[in-house]
Amino acid sequence: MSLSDFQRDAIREVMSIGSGHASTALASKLKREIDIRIPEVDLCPLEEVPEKIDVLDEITIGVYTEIKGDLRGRLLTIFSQEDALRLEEMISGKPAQKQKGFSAATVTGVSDVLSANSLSAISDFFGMKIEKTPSETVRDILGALLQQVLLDISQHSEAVLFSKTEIFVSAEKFNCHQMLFLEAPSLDKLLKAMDVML
Amino acid sequence: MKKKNVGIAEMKICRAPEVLTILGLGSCVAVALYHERTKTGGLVHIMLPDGRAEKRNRPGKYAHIAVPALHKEMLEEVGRKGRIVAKVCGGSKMFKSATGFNIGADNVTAAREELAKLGLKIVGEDCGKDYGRNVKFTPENGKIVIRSVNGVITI
Repeated sequence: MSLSDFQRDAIREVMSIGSGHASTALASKLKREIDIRIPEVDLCPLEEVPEKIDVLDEITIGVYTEIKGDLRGRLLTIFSQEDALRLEEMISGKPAQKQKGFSAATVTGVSDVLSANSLSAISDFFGMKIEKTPSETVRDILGALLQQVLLDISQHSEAVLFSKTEIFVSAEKFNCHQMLFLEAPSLDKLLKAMDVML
Repeated sequence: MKKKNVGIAEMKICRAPEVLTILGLGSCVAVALYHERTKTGGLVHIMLPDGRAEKRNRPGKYAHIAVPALHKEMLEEVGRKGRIVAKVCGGSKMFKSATGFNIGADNVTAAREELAKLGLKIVGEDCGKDYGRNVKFTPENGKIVIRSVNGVITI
């Protein structure tokens, strides 16, 4: 299963609209200059996800949300621990704790704004109603986090929409990945909705 | 020291001084078999408790196929002399909100049952809980070192 060029452009466009709204929301909340870009979106088979991110034994911060309504699935946003700490320090202005005390509050907040806006862009664009559950943040080994999510979703899904995301805070860059795991019927629905736009 | 990594649904056997690793073990479960006499270790990275056999050759995918398959390969490698013992780790649940069944716990239960059927004794375990694991199995001494966000333990 793969995206046509048109579908890839369409979903990147929609995700970019979402990230644009997220930038505005975060900029006014944090009183900083914020720019969020989505340089790359692709549909990736579940079994290729671990290859796509090759640092499986590194500690990462994962923010996990369930999606319900017209589209069903999960959304996982991941930051490397290094980027999460830098972001936390930059925004809070205080040195962040690397060990257990690291609250990841900033990363969770940023991910929540990002995912809420990505989902609302999708719902506005395609006229769908989508809800998300409160997110859960976990700091753990990347491979292990992915493994649980993949096993959790693998009964309902075969592919994930993978968005490389760059967050610029006052021109300093932070990377994250947004992974939208839609259940198979929901993914079909989304792809069909894109094709209708042609 | 040569390291061999065991990917998801894979199974590998090696002899000291080689070591076997699994990077990022989450809800999957790892079963290690150890034959002290020949310092031989086998490790399998199991995804699910059971399921239909597939055409693709991934003997490590399901516990009910993977554990007997690993045992058979070990016997072929080390012969009938000397005892083989088992260690089990993994099967965690990091995201509490992940819905559905607790696949990690089911994987651990299935692995234990399969080992019991084969009469293999479990001599070490680090299962369940809420953190992922990086695993290193050293057939030189039969020890498994597990690194996680909570520190390092040896079983």
